[in-house]
Amino acid sequence: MEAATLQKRSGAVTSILYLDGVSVSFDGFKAINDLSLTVAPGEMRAIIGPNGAGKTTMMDIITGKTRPDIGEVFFRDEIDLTQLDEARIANLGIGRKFQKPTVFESQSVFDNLELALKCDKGPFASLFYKMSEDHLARIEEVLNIIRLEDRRDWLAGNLSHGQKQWLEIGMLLMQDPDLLLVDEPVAGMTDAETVQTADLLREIAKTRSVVVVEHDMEFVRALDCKVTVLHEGHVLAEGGLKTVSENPEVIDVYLGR
Amino acid sequence: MTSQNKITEKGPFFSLLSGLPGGGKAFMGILLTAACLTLAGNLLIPEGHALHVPTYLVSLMGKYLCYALLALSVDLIWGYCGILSLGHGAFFALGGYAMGMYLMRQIGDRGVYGNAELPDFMVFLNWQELPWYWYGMDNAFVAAIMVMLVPGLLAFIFGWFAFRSRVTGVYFSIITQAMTYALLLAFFRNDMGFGGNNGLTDFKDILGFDLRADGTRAALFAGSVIALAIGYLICAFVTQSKFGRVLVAIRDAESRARFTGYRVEYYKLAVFVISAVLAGIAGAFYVPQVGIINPSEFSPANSIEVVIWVAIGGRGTLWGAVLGAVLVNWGKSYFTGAFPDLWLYMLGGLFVFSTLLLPKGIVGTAPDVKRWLQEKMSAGADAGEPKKGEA
Amino acid sequence: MKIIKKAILLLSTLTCLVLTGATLGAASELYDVTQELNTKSYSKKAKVVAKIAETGDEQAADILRALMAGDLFARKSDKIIVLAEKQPDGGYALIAPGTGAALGTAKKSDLSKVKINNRVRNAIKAALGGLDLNHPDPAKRLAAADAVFKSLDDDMLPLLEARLKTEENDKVKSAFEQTIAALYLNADVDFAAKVSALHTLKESGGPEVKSFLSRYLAELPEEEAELRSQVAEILDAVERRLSNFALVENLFQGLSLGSVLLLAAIGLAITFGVMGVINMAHGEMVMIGAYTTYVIQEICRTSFPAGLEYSLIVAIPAAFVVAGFFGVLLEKSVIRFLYGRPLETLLATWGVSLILQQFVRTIFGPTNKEVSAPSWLSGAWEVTSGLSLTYNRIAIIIFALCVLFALMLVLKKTLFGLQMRAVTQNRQMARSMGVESATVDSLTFGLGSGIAGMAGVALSQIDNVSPNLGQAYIIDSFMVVVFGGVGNLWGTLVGAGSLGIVNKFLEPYSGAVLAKILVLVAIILFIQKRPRGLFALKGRSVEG
Repeated sequence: MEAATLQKRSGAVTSILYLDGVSVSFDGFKAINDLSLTVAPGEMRAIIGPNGAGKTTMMDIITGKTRPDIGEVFFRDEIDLTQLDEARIANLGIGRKFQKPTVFESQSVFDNLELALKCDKGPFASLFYKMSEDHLARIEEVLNIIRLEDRRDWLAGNLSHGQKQWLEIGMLLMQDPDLLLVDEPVAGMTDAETVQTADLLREIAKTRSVVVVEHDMEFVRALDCKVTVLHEGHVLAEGGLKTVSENPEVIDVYLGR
Repeated sequence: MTSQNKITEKGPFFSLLSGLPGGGKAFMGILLTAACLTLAGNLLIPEGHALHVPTYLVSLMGKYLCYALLALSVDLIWGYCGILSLGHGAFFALGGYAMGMYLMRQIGDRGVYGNAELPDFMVFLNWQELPWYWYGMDNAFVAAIMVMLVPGLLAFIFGWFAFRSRVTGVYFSIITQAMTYALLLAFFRNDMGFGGNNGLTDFKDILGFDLRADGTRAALFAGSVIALAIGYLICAFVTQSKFGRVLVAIRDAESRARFTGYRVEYYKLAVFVISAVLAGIAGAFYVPQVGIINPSEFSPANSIEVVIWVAIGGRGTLWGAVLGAVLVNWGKSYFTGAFPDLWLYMLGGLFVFSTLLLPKGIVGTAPDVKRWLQEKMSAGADAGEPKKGEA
Repeated sequence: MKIIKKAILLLSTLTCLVLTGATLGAASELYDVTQELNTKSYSKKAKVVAKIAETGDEQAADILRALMAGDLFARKSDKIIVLAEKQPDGGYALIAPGTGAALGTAKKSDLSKVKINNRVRNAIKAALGGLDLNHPDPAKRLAAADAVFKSLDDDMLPLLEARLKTEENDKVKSAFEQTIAALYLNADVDFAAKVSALHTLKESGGPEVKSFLSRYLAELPEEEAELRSQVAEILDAVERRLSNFALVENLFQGLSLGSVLLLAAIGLAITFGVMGVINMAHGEMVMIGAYTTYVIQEICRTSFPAGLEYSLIVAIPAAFVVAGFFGVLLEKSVIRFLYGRPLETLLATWGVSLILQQFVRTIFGPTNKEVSAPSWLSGAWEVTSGLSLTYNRIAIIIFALCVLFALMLVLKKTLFGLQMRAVTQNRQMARSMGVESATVDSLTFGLGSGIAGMAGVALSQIDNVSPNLGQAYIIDSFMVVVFGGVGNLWGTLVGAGSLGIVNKFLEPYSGAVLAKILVLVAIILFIQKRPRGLFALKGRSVEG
């Protein structure tokens, strides 16, 4: 592990996200077991795995919600994420979308985006915040990207399931993150919406790193990226979708025969 | 699903009054008009006249207004940020005690024992000198600072511990209840130096004016009106700023707010402290008008009652909190006089009724009722048309 | 005083009525001796007092007490010593001492009081002590021995030693030994005898021995250094023993308080664990249980007096059923509609608690009701001298543990328990597996409330039954749940036990109120570290 750290520090490996030997257990149950994973800058990565493989817990660890028992988690090679809380990590440039779409339901679509806007997020700054032209323009831009211009004054709670998913992705974009963690973005979406979402994510991945957790194999195929298979908190296989889906172990535990 | 339905204006509301939404402007108008009428009725119209407002009524209304400010402070954290404090009565009482200490010192040597330095209860306990925390409390300015500082500091320390370790929901409610309960027990003790069981009372005057004089009472009422108005403006400013929208965001989806980059604990702490200070100010205006402050103000039951004022009026709406406080307390004054045995049934019933059937409170439900009535009327009108034709 | 006098006279009158003639011979000896009091010399009177005691007559003590109280008079006309009782009309009814025969009435002016001075008084006291040492009732003998231990009257020594030989009651025997030892220390005996007396005292070693020894040590002259060091050593041992007892007693007090908290908190913990519902009316379920106990006691008293002793046993299931019924009612009528809104539930149940309190106040009135302890629960188990544990508190500890383990059995071994645990862990999943979660909720609530009702039965034994009963314990119960963690009965047990014990251990140092405050503050600080309690479930599922 020392060697790995040295190597990483020396700049030989540049990664946006670097997990090494991470383990966490809840009451004896090992949710994550010696997990190591590296995501390169600008890379899009799909993570698949059966229920209980530790996908969500992995996201919890990266975003500071859960502290690992042992192991290293570094962002942009040098920032130790295990020492920071959720808000700090979010402001560093890691955005997270939950499995269940979570938006601020009693506020308008516009306000949701405004709240996510990248700016000083301290209480005092918020108390005396005044929207600038730039910020307004940015919100308009994202509204356009997520195709919710005509819903801008709607309460977020009144949006359809798919629209909420997009709004949440839009909120991530407002944060202007370097790394997006997206947990099952197309769950409960229609086929058309799924295709649109895949397009949207690919578009986003042109400028940012994206990690997508997904069950829907069609969608993963549409993403067309490197795939990591998790099983019992451990990386089972990694590579292109084709390689991975031919791996006998993967077939055994996940894809089925 | 409450107040944030129609935000189109952006930016801070430095010009507060013009920025108030319709309800707020109406509220300010009603409050100030009612206050002026009451004062005029008390001071200008002679006694015996049908429109004369007796002084006891002025003080009673002043008391309601203090309750209203307390309700506002609870609404700010519960209605907007979803933090249910069952210990806000403690901040109110602390503010009250700070004021009570000042009033106690103003008695000077007119007490029963005629000790210029020590309040009566200390003489009675054979104390020789003033405890250190009573120093300076004879100065109105120091007292005014303490009225805000003590509740604010307690809220800061308590909140810092609680929010930092993410004590939320019912856990937070329960420990705030334990907090006020602990203070209740503490203030009952004679050696705390706050008059024990009897509390602080027998006040003589405030800022040199006789507390029993009609003019002083009217002035205290006016002070309560102004305190409520300013408190309302502060709350309005807070809730309509981006800060307020963050609070609502925390209420509705706390972890989303965290992952969006907000330090939730700072926001909660900030709003908790603001709220506690407002509650303390309410307590400070309350004490001279009722003439006593004692440990029972710390009782957990009091704090929970405040929550129900807010629930009845409509949480998440500022003037709902005010309306609820005045209505419930008016009802309490009336029913405890007319049917003392029934009051607790009614209060208990209010808790059940408001949570089961009126979750949005009066103010929150009013628009629904209005809409329903309009639909009903328009439907009635539609139905009426063809009949006319037939006739 | 008046009542005692009356009682004495009545007693003697009654005995005399029964015994007239038959015992006249025996009584007349006492009568004769009593007549000797008709003298001016106090020293003679003192001797007569001793003689009266020596008759061994059962009424001797009564006569001595009458003499002490100034109820013994000499009739001026015939110089006869009589007992006189003041009549409402101002006259006196006269009774012959010893025989109890009525001797008519007299005016005050016809009588002259038998005067006594301190010397006579002391003689009376000593004589009475001696008489009581011979009393057939062991409790009286015990009290007499203790009195001698306090007065250290060395005249009693021979009597005590004589009595010790025939004494059969163990308790009285050890009291005699202790008293004799104390007298020996003051008597003119050799060093060895004193040391052995000291060891006897060490054996019994109650708080009274401690105060005796420390007084003795203070008065002991410096010259007797050897004895001094012996006494100091024994005193030290006694003190250590006593402080250990105090510790045990504190622990016991803490445990019994903890047991009450446990009973009150178990129900709270399971309803909170299963439904995430804080029931503010839980304290009122305790109160309802206590009132059920009261009602059952009253029913027994009026229509079934023979069963009064065992009304408490009947009250346990009855309180469970009544409180459980109210619990199910509460769940069905209010809480059911508020699932997923814990804060609203909290408020609504608070409202219900106000209504229930006022309801009880309307029916039973605002004053305290007394539930009397059955005789099999009153009194204390005297483990050893200086350490006694009251039966009612012992019973509460045992009862609380029984309830806890019964509940654990229900949770572990029954279908209902299985379903309940399933709903606790994953409501959605349990429902999709066919568990009627609504029914489970109602029953859980009923169960929790029923247990609270049983807590009320226990509380009725150590606290006043009043409409506010529940309020007094509810915050502490919440603290137990918060401290112990939700959904874990062991946590509740540990939480309740430690809260009770810490409270009781702090009390001597800081006073009851401050102890409570300290505990509250400690818990508030504690949940900073473990926001979900001591035995919290960890993992993804609970962090919603």
